[in-house]
Amino acid sequence: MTSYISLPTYSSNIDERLRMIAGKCNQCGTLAYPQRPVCIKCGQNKFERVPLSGEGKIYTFSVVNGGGAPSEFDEEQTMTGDVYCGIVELEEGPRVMVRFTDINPEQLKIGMKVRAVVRRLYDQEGFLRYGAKFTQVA
Amino acid sequence: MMDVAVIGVGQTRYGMFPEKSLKELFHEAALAALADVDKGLDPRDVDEAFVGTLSTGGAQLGNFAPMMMEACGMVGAGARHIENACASSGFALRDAVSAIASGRAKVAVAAGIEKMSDLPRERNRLWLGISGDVEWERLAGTNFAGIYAMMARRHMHEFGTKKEHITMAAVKNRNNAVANPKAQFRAPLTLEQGMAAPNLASPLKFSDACGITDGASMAILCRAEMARDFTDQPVLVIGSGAGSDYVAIHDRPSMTMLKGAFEAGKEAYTTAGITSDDIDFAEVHDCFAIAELLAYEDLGFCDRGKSGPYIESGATLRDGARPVNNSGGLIAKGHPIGSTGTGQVYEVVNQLRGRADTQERQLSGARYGLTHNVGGSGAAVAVHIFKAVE
Amino acid sequence: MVGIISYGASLPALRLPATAYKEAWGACGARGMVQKAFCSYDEDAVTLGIDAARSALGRLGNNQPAIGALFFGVTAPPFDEKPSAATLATALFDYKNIRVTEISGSPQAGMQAINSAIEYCQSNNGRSALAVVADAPTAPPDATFEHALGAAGAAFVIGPDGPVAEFLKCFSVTHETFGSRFRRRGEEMISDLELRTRDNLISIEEVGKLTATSDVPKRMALGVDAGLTRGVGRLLGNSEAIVDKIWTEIGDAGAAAAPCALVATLDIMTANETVLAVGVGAGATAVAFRAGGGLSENRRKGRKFSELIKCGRVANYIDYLKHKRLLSSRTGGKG
Repeated sequence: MTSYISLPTYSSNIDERLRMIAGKCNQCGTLAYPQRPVCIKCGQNKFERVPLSGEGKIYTFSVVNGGGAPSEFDEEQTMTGDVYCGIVELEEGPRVMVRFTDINPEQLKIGMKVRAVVRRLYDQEGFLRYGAKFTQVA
Repeated sequence: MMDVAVIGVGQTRYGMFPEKSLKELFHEAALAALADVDKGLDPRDVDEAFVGTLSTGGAQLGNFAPMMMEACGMVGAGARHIENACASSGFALRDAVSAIASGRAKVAVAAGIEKMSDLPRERNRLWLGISGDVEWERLAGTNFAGIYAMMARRHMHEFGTKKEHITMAAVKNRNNAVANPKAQFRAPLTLEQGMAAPNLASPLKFSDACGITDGASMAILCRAEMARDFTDQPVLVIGSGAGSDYVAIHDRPSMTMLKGAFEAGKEAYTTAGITSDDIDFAEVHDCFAIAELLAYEDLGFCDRGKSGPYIESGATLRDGARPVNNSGGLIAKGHPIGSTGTGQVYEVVNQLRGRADTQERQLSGARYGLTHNVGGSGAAVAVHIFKAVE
Repeated sequence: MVGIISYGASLPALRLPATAYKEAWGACGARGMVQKAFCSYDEDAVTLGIDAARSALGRLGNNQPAIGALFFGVTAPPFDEKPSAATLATALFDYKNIRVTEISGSPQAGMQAINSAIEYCQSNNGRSALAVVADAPTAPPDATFEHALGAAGAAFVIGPDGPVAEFLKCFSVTHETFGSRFRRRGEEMISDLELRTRDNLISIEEVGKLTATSDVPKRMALGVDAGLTRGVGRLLGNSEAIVDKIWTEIGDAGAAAAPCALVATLDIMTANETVLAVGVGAGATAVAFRAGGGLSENRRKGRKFSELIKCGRVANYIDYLKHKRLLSSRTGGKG
């Protein structure tokens, strides 16, 4: 099945996905992660690339019934069931919607500390796509 | 600017109709809308048409609107496809209103359609998640239930809203739909059943959500000054508002409000010259039960953060002070994506004309009705206010 | 002298106890194995490699050297063509002037990657290299030799001098095999005709002939199965040698077996002790190191291999098959 996120689109933000590279607004210093063309705060469009620590806290989350996640995850949810996802507020400030991995669902809660690890996102069009997911800080 | 009136509305029954073709479905809605123009309308007199749909069976069709117009004998009108996800036909309505108000069109059509039932499971999941920030939200593995669930969890966290409050919206809407012959899900629901339903996307349960629906709807509009030529019961569109927001909810400063809905509501109230207090009843976009609670707050029906106690008070029940989703809403009437906005118009116009399909559902003494149609998780919102003509 | 500047390891999220095989098949073909580590659905040799490399680089804090070359040793990379080593480089470094080499073909690949990194540093005076090894071999679930297959990753930062461990010597032997552990091009799963040939013993014996002429280290790191572990000291010329036992806890980690055994051994060595790490499979690659004064400080900055073994969630056999895609009609063990 074809993908909704083309490989060139995926590859255009590979540094964000694999190394948590944010954009820092040249004018007001606001961090953009995921990166965006225009600063969310001041509207300027020049950014410096800065790496984020990959550490943060859960801002909100949901356990999506293993059967309802998008088709990229069709085989995965058949094999591994429920999908744990949510929004992480990163240490440096930005919030981002993420997938959780190696997480105890009973311990999921707002404020829980998590950190980024690289995992497979999905396998489509004969291609594996990797990216950051977030796991419980031991 | 010209005043605008609705002179006819039509809607198919909402449900699963895999055996009906797209064209048949649209034709059925158009036929009903034309029949609803009491004194008759020659389909060839339609100047402009705006047809909302997300995509057809998960596939995009080029020249979609002309194809639909052809299916209902309205060849010739300037027709175009309007796409703003689940708010597609709410925006189609806004554009139809503008076309008439600007003086360019005398008669315009706003319509919507979606056919969701005829896809394999995997293909449904392919396209149902395309109306958010696909690169980040979709690839986090979430669907729209999950996104609304995350908003629900924040609402519970920030305001102490109880899960029961959220489910009350689903219970009310399911019970409202029992009397609506056009609704998809007509079995009643108790709060206990709703709370005990299987997990959809925590904290939301299956019964807190809309389903997979086929359906089409149409509203025919004209210059208000001409309306009496077509019907003795025109309904005025007195307010129109639209707004948009960051597509990904993680970019929004607050996840417990839809800024786009707030802005759309503000514009609609301003253009109508009324306030939220004047609204007698509303059809709001309850794709998931939490969305109805957010709508109460965004539209000013209650204070920010107070939608839980507000629904608990019974104010939005059919016999409450301001009934909301008397039709059953998206949860029970159904949510054929592209049709939802004009489907809401169908309900509001019929109520204002005193033409509810069953007497049990007819609201009495309503003057102002509101529709609230949300695209995705709030990226695009259209709000309209309608007024009965005495 | 060229040597190890820093090291680290990674184990996948899940553990399968050997009893799971007894319950499913009546017996576990991996005799002596207590449990093994295996990849969850979203892990593979690439993610393990990234994690191990981040662990090794992370121990250096702000003192990371510029890495001129990355060697990735792996028998089960996700692509036959399209270097996964490039994925590692993208995930680890913000610069592109880096040479990546992927080494595959046998479980020796891990030690070959380490040896290549050493040789890179020897021939490029002052430069540093990164050796990443990770593996997650797969075999048909109804094959007895599948029972042992685990997964793990390790990484070593190699530089012009080795405060953690100094490189002493490398010994390599080649032994062509016929029927033991092979995989034709394009196949996902390894085969083994389960002949009674003694290929691994022969390879180790050959290494023993070479090491006999030098000081035989007291510690040996092979990551091989319990049966082979028992005879290894004698074969390598020191029957008193202390041999690692990681296989009993993580299973057969393919190319990562010997490097992980080296990690586990570095975790418990004292300065000036020596270790011989031997990657075995169609021959052997053996590398000898002497622990340096910086070892204890470096290992304090990360988690020990024994701790990594302890974390991890215990799964059942059905979950094991699902995570490894062995029950999937779509991918059927692919990836």
